[in-house]
Amino acid sequence: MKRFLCILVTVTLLMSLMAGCGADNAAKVDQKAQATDNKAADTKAADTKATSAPAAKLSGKVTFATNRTDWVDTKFKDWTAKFSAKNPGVAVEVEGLKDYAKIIKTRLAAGQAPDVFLLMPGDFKKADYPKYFAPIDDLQLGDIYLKDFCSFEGKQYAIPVGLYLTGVIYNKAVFKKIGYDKFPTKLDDLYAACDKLKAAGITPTTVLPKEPWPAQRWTDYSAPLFGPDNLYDAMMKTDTPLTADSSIGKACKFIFDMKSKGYMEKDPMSTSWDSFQKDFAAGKIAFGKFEQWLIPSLVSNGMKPEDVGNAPLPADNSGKLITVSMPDWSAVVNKDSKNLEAVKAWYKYMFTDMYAEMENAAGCVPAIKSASNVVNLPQIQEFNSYNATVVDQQFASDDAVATMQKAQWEMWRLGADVGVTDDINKVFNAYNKKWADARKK
Amino acid sequence: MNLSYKSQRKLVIFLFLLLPITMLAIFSIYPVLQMLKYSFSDWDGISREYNFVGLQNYTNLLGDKETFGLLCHNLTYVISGILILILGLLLAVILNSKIHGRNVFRFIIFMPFVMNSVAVAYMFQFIFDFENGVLNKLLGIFSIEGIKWLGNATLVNFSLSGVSSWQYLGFYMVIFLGGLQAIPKELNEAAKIDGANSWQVFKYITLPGISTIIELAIFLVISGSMKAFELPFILTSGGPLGASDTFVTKTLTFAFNLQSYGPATALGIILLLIVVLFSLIQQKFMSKTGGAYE
Repeated sequence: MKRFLCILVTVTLLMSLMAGCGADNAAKVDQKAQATDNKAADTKAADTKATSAPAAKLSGKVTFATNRTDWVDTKFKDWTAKFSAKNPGVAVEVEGLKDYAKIIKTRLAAGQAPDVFLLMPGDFKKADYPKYFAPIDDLQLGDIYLKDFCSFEGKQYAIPVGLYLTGVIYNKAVFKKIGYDKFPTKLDDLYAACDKLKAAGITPTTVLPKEPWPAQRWTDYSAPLFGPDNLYDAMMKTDTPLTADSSIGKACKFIFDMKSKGYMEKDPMSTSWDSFQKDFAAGKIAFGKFEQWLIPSLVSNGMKPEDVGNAPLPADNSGKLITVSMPDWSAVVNKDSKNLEAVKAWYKYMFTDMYAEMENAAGCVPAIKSASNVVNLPQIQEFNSYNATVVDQQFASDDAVATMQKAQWEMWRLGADVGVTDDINKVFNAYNKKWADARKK
Repeated sequence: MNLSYKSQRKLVIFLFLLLPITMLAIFSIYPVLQMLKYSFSDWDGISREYNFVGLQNYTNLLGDKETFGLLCHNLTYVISGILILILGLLLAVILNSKIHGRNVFRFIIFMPFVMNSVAVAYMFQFIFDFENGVLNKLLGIFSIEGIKWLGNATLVNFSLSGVSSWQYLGFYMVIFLGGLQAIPKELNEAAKIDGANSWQVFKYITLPGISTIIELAIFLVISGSMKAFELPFILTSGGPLGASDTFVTKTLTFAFNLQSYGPATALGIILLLIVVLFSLIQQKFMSKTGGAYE
């Protein structure tokens, strides 16, 4: 009896050891993957990877990754339920990734990317599209804006989830308080408004140097306002890309001037994305250079929708306003998906049945040309009333991207540095030097 | 199986060690070897092909002034770590004696170590805030102008290392306490009878008794300082104009923002070598002194 008990306990312990193995891996992995969260996501992906039975009819599991973690349990639940009602047998699993940009690249490199996922322009070389993504021409979703960016050698690989038009999001109530019904359309008017805001104790705008996406809006997303030529092509032709004449140099000077006149927060390093949204919603910050995707976040942070205004940013005193159309995250189909038919059905569903809701939720303009009437946000209507000229976003060529990587040049960090420094020439010289060194290599 | 006692023992030891060593090999040793391999290449993290570029990544990094800057930023963590070590030792000596409420104090001082670093970072974001933060409001009471804790390029590293030191004070205090309690009480009593004052007791009995612990603590301070990451990453993203970038934040920038796994892994290997170098230097200096009273 004693011996039997002994054996039973040993076997139980051994089994728990095996279980401990799996948990131990995950625990070790979680510890190592603190901020980047790569391996933890990998382990999770291994658990949730679609392994469906080979099916002729649409069935199985489709995995979809999104950066909108706030929608996973709300909007996506609705949408996937409706999709499964139309296509019984297919289960769509939506995964929200908090540090999306970093994780998705690691997953792709490990061959564990979901079936449908999102990517940002500039993340991949166009020549790499056929290596990782399945062409979607067969879905016949119609002509899209920015088709060139999404295609390679005649085949289309992606559709932007939406387009954004750059400009400012401003607090209408605050501006009304200082006597402005509309956002200023000339630079001097803007400076005058900022002076009034400062006098009223409100921070006019912000640079938010700690997160990549706010600071970047002032640099390469703004450069087209200061010059029509592709800023990256111009950079590739010279050893000193940051000058008083280049479009990127002028964009940086714009931020620096705003900072020097005291129109930005007193200590940029104290701010954070969360505190910015709360302060903006509370009326402590007057405007920020962001696109329409910010609007739903501000509303959920307590701002009244009728107080949210959207207007193009004036770059000078000519009164001519320019806005840059930018693609939001673009959806692609993983080439190595196990049940491509079901996956493509979900993809098509995203851009047809789900499209109007998705666009309105994201607050962006649809990329599919024929669907331009699905969006009914008042802010976009206000934006259109300014009649700004729409120019395409300027993308970097593969060579420019490689040189920027060698020069350790991050556009967002350039914006952050210019917004924090006291001497813009120091920053310009430092970046120019690195650029010149990188070009020599 | 009729194995001799000796071989049975060997078999049991081997089997018990098999699992931990396999996991160590898979999760620690293999990645480091891969890292070494990639540090000689120009891999961009995604593509399946890459070229070997020899020592180019290393020469670029070591020739760059910024790498030395990273080392300096990490050194501020070492400096505050050493200061906290001394403070921890002092607290341990005080809390080792019989005073009222010493357990309460031990608990309070140790608490920050238990808190998650990321949560601590977010908490200090509020404390360091320029306009609404606790510290500046405190200074305001004394009519002192607010300080840009995170915005001032010279101060930012000290602010960050101050946070990390606050967290680790309790840890060092606890390990010193453990060491102090291992010193036989008779020695202290004998010294008191012979007329030694507190400072002499400390210098001639306590310090030699915990010399191995001090060695350990210094090693932990140095290796921990080299790994400083969460605080600069969350609080300053590398700081105003790169003033608070550390080895690990820069490695992440290389790897994920700049898609350059070559320099990223090379930087990691350089960090590894620095820590190994420091510990070798430390071993040489400190092994001259004797061990504990075993």
